Amino acid sequence: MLTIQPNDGYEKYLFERAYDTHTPISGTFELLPTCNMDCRMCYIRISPEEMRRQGRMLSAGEWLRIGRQAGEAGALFILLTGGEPLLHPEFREIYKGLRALGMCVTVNTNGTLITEEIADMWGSDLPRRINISLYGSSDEIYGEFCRNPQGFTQVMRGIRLLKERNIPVKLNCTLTPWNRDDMDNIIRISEELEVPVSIPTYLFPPARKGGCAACGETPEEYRLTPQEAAREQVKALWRAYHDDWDYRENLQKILDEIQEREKNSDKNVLPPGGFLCSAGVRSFWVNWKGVLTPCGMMTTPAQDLQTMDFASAWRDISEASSRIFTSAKCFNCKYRKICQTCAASARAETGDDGNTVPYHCEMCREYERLLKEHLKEIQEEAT
Amino acid sequence: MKTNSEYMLRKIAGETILIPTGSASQKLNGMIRLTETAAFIWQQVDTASDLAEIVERLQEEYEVDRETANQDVHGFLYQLYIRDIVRDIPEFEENPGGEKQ
Repeated sequence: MLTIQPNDGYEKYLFERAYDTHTPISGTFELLPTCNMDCRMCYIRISPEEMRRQGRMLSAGEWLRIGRQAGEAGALFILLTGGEPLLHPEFREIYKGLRALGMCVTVNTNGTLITEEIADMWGSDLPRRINISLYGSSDEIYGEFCRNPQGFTQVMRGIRLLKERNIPVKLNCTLTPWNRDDMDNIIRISEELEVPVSIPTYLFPPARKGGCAACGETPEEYRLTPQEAAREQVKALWRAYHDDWDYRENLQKILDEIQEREKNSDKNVLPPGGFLCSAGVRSFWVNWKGVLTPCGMMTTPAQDLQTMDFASAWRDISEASSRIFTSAKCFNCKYRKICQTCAASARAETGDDGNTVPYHCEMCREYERLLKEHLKEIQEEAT
Repeated sequence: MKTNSEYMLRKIAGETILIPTGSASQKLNGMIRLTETAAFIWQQVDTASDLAEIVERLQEEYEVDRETANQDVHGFLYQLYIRDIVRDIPEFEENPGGEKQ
C-alpha cells in the first residue's frame, strides 16, 4: 500500500538529485541593498541615495515573475535576504507570492524590524526558518558595532514574537573584533531561547564594494586575524559539545582526517571545473537589480533576469561556472575538508579564482595546532 | 472530491512533492514525498467523479490488477483525507477506515 513517506533525510536526497541534474533547487533573492543598521563589516549595505544612483529595487511583481520562472526550472528553496529584506515596501507580497508558488522560504533578517503584523503573517504561513543575525548581547555592542543603540532590545523583542508563534528560528552570530568577547553570552542566549546558533568566524572581504583584500584597498580591522578566527572557532566547537567524550572523539576525528589526507592525497590531481560547492550547479543568487550569479560573493559570471528568462540565464551561468578553476594546491591540501576557501573567496581575497588564500592557510594551520593542543590538555586531565 | 488547494504539487529534479502552504504549513512545515503512482493518483482527484474512476485511470496508466489499484487508491487517499489534504470524498465519509466496499 502507498503511504506518506517520512521526510527524514529526504531534503538531503533532493539536494543530491539536484546536484546531479544541475537543477537550480535553491536560490537567494537579495531584495535590496539598504539596511536600518550599519554594521561595520557588511559587504552589501549601501545608503538609499547610493542605491538610487546605482539602480532601482525590483517590485513584487518582478520578483514573483523571476520566482515563477525559477520554480519552473526547479527552484524549491528560496532565501530572502538584503540588506534588510523587511525594508522592502512589498515584502509581504513577495513572501506570500513565493509561498503560493510552492516555495520553501527562509528569511535572513537582523530581527530589529519584526512587528506583530510580520510575525502574524509568518505564523499563518510558516517559513522554513527565520535566520536572525545576532551581533551581540547588549545594546552597547549594537551601538558600537551596528550603529543602532537599541538594536539588541529590538531583536530580542522580534525573537520573542516569533517564538510565541512557534516560527522556526536560528541565530547567526558572525564574530568580529567588536563582539568576539561576547560569544559566551550569545551561546547563553541561544540556550535560554532554545534556538540553535551558528558562529562563523570567517568574513569575506567586502569585494562587492570594490577592491580585494590583497590589493590593500579594504581595511583588515573589520575581521579577526586568521589566528584569532581559528581560536574562536575552536572555542565555538568546544561550546557546542556538552559532553567531553563526544568533543574529544570529534577532535580526534578531525585530526585523523587531516593526517589521512596528508598521507594519501595525490598532490598532482587537477581540480574539476566549478566552484567545488553547489554554486552554479544547484544554487544561485539574484541581486537586488535582478542579476543572476552563481553566488552572492561574485559579480561574474552574471545574466540580467530583466532581459533574459531564468532558464536561459541559468544555463549560461551554470556553463560559465564550470569553467572556473580553483587552486590545485587547495584541491589537494590536507586541510581541504576543514578549509573554507573557494573560488569566490580566492577572488575576493586575492583577485584571482585560482589562487590560494593566505588567510585560510594561516587559519587552518592554527586551527590544527589548537585542536592538537586542546586534545592533549583534555587527555592529560582525564588521566 | 477535491485536493486542498493549500498543498502545492511541485516536480523537482525528477521527484514529485507536495508543499503545504498557508494554514496547512502549521500542521506540517515541510514536504510530502510522492511516489510516481501517488503523484498520478493526486493529479486525478480534482477531475475524477469518484474513487472508482481513479482506480480505472490508474489501471489504464499502469499495468496493475484491480485489487492492487483499489488498495493503492483507497489507502493513499484515505491517509490524505484524514489529514485534510484531500476533501469531500463521500466513500470515506460513509466508510471511515477507507477499506474498499
